[in-house]
This record gives sequence, C-alpha cells and structure tokens, in this order.
Amino acid sequence: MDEAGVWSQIESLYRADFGRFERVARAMAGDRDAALDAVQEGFADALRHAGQWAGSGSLEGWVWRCVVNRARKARQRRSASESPTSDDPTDRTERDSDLGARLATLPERQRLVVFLRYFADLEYKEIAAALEIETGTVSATLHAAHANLRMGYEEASV
Amino acid sequence: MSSVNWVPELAAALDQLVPPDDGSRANWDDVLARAGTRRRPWLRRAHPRRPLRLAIVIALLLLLLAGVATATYLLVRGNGGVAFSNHFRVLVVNPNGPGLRTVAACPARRSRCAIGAPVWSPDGKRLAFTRGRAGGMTEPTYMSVYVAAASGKDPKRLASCGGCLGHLAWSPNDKWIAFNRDAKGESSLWIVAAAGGKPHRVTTCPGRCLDEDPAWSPDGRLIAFTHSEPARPGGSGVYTVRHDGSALTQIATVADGWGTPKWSPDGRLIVFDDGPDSIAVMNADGSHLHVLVAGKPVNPGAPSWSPDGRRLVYFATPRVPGRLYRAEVWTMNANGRGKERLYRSGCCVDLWAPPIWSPNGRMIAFSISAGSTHGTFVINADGTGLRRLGSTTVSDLSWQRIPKGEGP
Repeated sequence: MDEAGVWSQIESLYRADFGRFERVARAMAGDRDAALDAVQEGFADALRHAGQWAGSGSLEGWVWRCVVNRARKARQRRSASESPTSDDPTDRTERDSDLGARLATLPERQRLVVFLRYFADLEYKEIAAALEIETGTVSATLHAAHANLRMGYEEASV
Repeated sequence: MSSVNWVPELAAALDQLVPPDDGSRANWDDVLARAGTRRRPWLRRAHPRRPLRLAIVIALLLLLLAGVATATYLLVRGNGGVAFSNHFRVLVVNPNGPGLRTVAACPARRSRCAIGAPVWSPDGKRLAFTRGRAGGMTEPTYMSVYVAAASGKDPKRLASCGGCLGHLAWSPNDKWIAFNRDAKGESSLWIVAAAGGKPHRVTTCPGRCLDEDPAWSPDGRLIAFTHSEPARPGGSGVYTVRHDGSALTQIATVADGWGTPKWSPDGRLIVFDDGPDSIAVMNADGSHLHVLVAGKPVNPGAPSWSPDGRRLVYFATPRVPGRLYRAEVWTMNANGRGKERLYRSGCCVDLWAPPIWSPNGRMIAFSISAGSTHGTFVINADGTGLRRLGSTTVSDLSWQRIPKGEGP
C-alpha cells in the first residue's frame, strides 16, 4: 500500500472511530480539550509518518499508538501543572472507594489496557499492537488490572 | 459479588466514569492542517462551509512547493508542464513521458509548513503559489502569496493572505495576481502586482461573508468571484467587480459556498457550480442563466472550459451504499449536450483534484484516490489512453505550455 492508501485508511479510521479514540484519550488525559487535542495531534502524527508504517502490522494499532502517546504526554503535562486537589475523575486519590481513583492508582500499562479494552472495545491483539506488547502480556495485564480494581471495588461494596 | 457478574459491572461503572463522546467534535480538516497538509475543496460538497473549515481547506489547498525557499514549478516542454502539490512537496511532471519528480518540499514534516495552490502564469514563464504555516483548531493560518520563475528560481513573497482561501488567479496580461485574504476579521479579494509592490483591496467583506475564487475575464476588465453571505438571504452567489473595486455586481444567486466561476475563453459566458447538484452557465452579465447538468450524473461540479471553449470537463460523485462515493470525469458540449463519461473510479473516492484541460485541449488531467487506485492521471479527451503520471494524489493541478528555455 502506498502512502496515499495509508492516508485514506487513516481518514476512514478517524471518521468511523473518532468517538472511541476521544474516549480513551479523555480517560488518559483527564479533560475534553486535552483529549481532543491528543486525538487530533495523534492522527496528524500518523499522517506525517504514514510513510514509516511498515505495512505488515495493524494500521489501526499503529494509529492507536500515536494517539495514546499524545494522550500520555498531555497527561504528563497536566500532572506537572496541576495541584493535588484536582477534580480529575481519574485522579481523585483521596477517595479510595472511587473507581476513578482506583484506576489512577493502577500501573500505567494496566490502566491503558483497561482503557483500550473498555473504552475502545479493542481485541487483545489490537491492544498489543497499540502498546507494542505481546498478546499474552495484554491478557496478563488485564487480568492483573481486574484483580486490582475488583479488590477495591469489593472492599467498597462491603 | 461473583467474578462472572463483576466485569459487566466494571464496564458499566467505567461508562459512567468516562461517558462515550457523541463524536460531534470530530474535525478531519483540523487533523490535516496539523499535519501540514490540505484537503480538497470538494469536501464542501459533503460538509457545510464554516470559516475555520474553509481556512483549513485553503491551507491544504496550498501545499506546494517550497523547500528551500525556492520555487518550484514544473515545466515541461511540448505539451507543457503540469504543476501540482501533494501534502508535503511540490511535484513536476512531463505529461508526455516520465519525469515525475519532487521539486521542493516543506523543510520538515514536523512543522506546519504548507505549500499549495500552484498556478502557472498565462505565458508560462512564472508560477504563483501560496506558502506559510497551516493553522489548527485554535491557531490561525498564516500564508503568503509567492511567485517564482518557471525554473523555480527567484521565489518572491508578494503579499500575506492569512488563511488565503480558494485559489489564486493571474490576470490575462501576466501582471497581476488576485487572491483571497482571510485575516483580521475579514475575507476579501485583493490583487498584487506579480512584479511586487503594495497589494490593493478589491472587495470589502468584513465579518460574516467571504469572497474567494477570483477569475479574471479574458480581456482583464472584470474579476468574477464567489461571494458567500449566509446572513443575507439571496446575497450569496457569483459577482463581478473591476480590479479597482468599482462596478461590483451580483450576476447570479447561488447557495452559500458554491459558485467558483470560470470565464469562457471568448469572455462571453461564465460557467459555475450552481449549488451541490448542478452546473449552470450564463452570459457574463448574468443574463440567460440556464442549467447545463443537474441530478445526473450525480453531484456534478468543478466545470472547466476547454481551450477552444467548445467543451467542458467536470467531476461527478455518484454515491454508493454506506455514505461513500465514486468519482467520475465527464465532458459535455458548452450547451450541455453530448455528455460523455471518460473515467469512473472504483469505490470509494477519498481525495481528488478537479480535472483540467491540457493547453492544446487534447488531454485532461485529474488526480484521485479511490479504493486501490491512487495517483495523478491524464486521459485523452475522447476517453482513451488513460495513463498515470504518478502515484501521488494531489489537491491542485495547473497545466500550461512552458516557453523554451524558461524551464528548469
């Protein structure tokens, strides 16, 4: 597939799945504006580097990686600039019973896998492509995330 | 709580935590602008015009040459040269043979550099284009009008044009360039001498209106253009004006965002996009307006006169199931008869550039990305001899004879 073909597929992906990308980015970045910026910049990154996509892997996974990287950076900027009293739903660490807080305490890979699984409805192999990890690692990571979240969830339900 | 029931409950809780987005903020043109590219103006067909979108579209339109500040420009002898820009570079091709090559490129893909809208001067000795910084969702676009020798040497910045909507237009005597300046709260027409000098305002379009797509009459006395003014019913349409801003006249009422007038070679007629579903022609004073094609083929648009004024080439985009389109290239007589389809793409068209005639009227060039077909093509005016000039789909095409010795 030449570069124009890759562009075409990237645009189709954007038009079909913008909502999923935005949702994952919002979960990661913490607010709507930052999420939108991450999605737009992520897709722009994908276009700029369309020629670098090898063509052998999942294009969707590769685009996800671009967006996730942008959302991660947005999150880092946000964390560096905000006070600890932020009302970000995934950053309310003082409220341990809150699902958002428990998500925020997960290791980053676990948190990303949860986001991509539940907000983007990606299959394990697609998550693996997006995060550049093995499919088995996805399974194990999601299992661990479930365990951590469930523990807090059940404690809060008692 | 059992583990069987827990996962769905987690999913529901996550749904509440980060609700799904309605997708209303999706904006592909903003992505293109951020990538330093430009999208076809054809998107106007599928999406209502918005100022920001237009600015982005124009920025995309611009893509072209650049590089080292040089000009780029294609030139070819014999049947002339086809100049065009893709998303990152300026390309030159000899339509009579091999030779597609990158002439210039933005310094770095990471930047928002944009080059585009290349247009040959009528005498084929110079090339005008726009170059600058493509904006984004919150940042304005800063473009300028440039002119360079046909060899690509001596690029010269003539005027800033902000968003620089629509295309550039050379005066018939090669001395002036008309352009849209989209900046500082207005989107008006201006002209600047190709040799350089102070730009002159032609129209005043502050606030909620837009003047773009200028076209000089063959005698150079008038400039026809598209005026969009949604807040004034009946105000949008095709207008003409003298280069000094006098004699402003509305000669046709058209839906917002449509028009793009083109003068016939003899200057008697003007053909234009009469809304999303028809192409119409009228006398230069607006009289005797009649539709040339409407409804079938579906979504006709972007008409262009053959050099002898006898035929028109245009695009059509019939829809296929699933909100997708094919692209077709058609020709017809100037009276609307004799319609002939020259080309039909597979499903589904994504990017494309309107078809244009060769200087001798024997061939037609167009660019398209549809399904597995991507590239810039030429085809004989009778529909035979389809040939791909290059694998890159571009946004703007300009084809002109280049005087011997003027090329690179």
